[in-house]
Amino acid sequence: MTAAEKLETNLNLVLIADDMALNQRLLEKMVTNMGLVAEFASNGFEAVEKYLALKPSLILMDVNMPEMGGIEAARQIKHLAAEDFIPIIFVSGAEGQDIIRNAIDAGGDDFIQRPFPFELLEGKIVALRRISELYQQVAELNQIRQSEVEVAEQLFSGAIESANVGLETIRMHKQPATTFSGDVQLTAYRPNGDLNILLGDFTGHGLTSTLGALPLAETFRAMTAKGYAAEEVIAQINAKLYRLLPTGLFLAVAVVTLEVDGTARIWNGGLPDVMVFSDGELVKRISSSHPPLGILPQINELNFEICNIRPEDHILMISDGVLEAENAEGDMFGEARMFGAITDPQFREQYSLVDSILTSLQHFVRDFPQRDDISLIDIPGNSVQSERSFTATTQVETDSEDSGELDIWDWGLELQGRSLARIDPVAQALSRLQESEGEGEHWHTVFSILTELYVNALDHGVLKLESSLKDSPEGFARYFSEREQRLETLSWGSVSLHVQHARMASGGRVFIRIEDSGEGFDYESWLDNDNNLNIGVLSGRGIELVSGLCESVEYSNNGATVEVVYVYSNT
Amino acid sequence: MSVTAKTSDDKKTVDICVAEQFDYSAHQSFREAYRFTDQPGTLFRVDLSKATYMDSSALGMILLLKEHADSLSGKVVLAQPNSAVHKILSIAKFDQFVTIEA
Repeated sequence: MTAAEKLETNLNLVLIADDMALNQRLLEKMVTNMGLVAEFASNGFEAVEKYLALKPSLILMDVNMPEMGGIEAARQIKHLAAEDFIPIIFVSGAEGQDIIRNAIDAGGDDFIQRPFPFELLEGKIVALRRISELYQQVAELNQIRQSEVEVAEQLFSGAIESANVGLETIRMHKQPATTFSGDVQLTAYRPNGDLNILLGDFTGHGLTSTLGALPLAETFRAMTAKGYAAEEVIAQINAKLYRLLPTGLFLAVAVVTLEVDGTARIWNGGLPDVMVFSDGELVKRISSSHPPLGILPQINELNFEICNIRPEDHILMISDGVLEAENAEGDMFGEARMFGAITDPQFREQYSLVDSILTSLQHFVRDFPQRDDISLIDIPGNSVQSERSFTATTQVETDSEDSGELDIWDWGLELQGRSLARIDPVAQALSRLQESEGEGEHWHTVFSILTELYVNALDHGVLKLESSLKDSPEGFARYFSEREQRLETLSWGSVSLHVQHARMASGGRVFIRIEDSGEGFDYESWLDNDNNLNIGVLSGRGIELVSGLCESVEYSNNGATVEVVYVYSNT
Repeated sequence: MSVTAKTSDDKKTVDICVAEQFDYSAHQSFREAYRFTDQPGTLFRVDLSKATYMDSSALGMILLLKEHADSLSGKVVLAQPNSAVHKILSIAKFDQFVTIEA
């Protein structure tokens, strides 16, 4: 038998600890009659030693033995067994309430007093062995559960949160209540350099609360990378979670979009107030304005708060686990204590915002066990300005134009009448670009630009659909059925698409012109005095998206012609 | 945690009273309080006056109750939450789809 095998419990072995040879013989006979094997110890020391050496599945223990008694031996064995269950039955001639109580207190599982009928002890042994088996099963199940939690945790931190960006400035802290946390923290850049930050808190804790984390992270990342604004990302997450999660499981969430110019757009659905701090003073609170996601089949109107953030300001997002953290007296940490920590001049000198709160929180709860996940995200106002990779694209342009190497091609397509309903010029343009210039992430962006512009030209220019129709849910559906109908009966109109690609030192420049046969639209109303886009909440988001992605967007011919320039780098 | 339920004599109202902590530990008994009610149009009145605290899993339980009530074309009313519980409900904006009586 190897050493490793010795550690396994010997299922048929019963250890009999008794200093009287006669008692040993009597108990042995009974044990062997039950089909089990007996081993012996004559005092408490021996009992402990044999327990360690032989790992019996049950111990029959005399109370009074020389050198070390049964009660002390039981105490030591139970201590050594730790998580393992080793049933101990005290068999004693001694009488008295105290002895029974001491024996059970020391960890004994049962007590039988001599003289007794053998059937009684036999019954106790059978019953305790049954309990042992249950223990074993529970231990095994627990082990399986533990390893599953570990796998899930790896997936979670590996696949979901390791892709977070902007962590040079943004400080994230997460302290799960159980091994696994229902809190999710995500960050991703839009193609124009805006940063989307999401803090979510799924109902409950543990494995079930993280069911939605994967679809949440995927939707958030994919849509942000494609340039969608936070409104669309939130609507899509809601639709997905509503479909996937069982009733009663949902996501309280807040989203911050920090734009390159320092504008912050903040929305809160079910989390504690998102706060903006300036010089340690609270200057703005964004309270929850919408039910958590995954509850309603369709989201209501989203109220984004818009504020200007200076580089030295901080946006703070927290989960309710911070405010509801309890100490031994049953008090909650609360907002007042959190503010105390943030505004404390001594703390501010010594610690960052997050560390100030955590230090104060730790001081408050001390060793009292944590019931809920604790999540904090501190977004300093300089988080997007400090990011340089997005300004690099403009540099590519000047570099290559200086170098003067000429590598340009043009491609175009004009669709008239019925062909508009049949041919997809966007897909053709894209495959042309990919064939000539190879695969690349940037074509996803070009795809978005082309789609937005082409759909605008077709829908509004040729089909003359009003985008204001889409303002209500009913109108939305009507818009699309109307569109389908008009396409089917289309016999007039045209859209032309022209694409020019120019290779540059480390990337390329795509020029796109789309013209439609329509009367144009009042594009000037989208622009304010400084020629900046002036977008309403519900319409014009396509134009907003395109202008966020492109170097330049120009309308002419009364709005019926649009020209945009998009620059990408190969790095 | 303790949950008690009482059906009115005309069987049109089920009063569910949740006392102390309204959290996951109430899950089973809260569900038992309504799941066998199948009278169409039943009003489920959740008396929260004795609840001291409510967490997000309790919000989930209310959604499950609402789903059950909707399937009976019934209604859920949350009654008399204390200020702590009311705060939880208002952060989650439950007032947008459940009636809350002060």
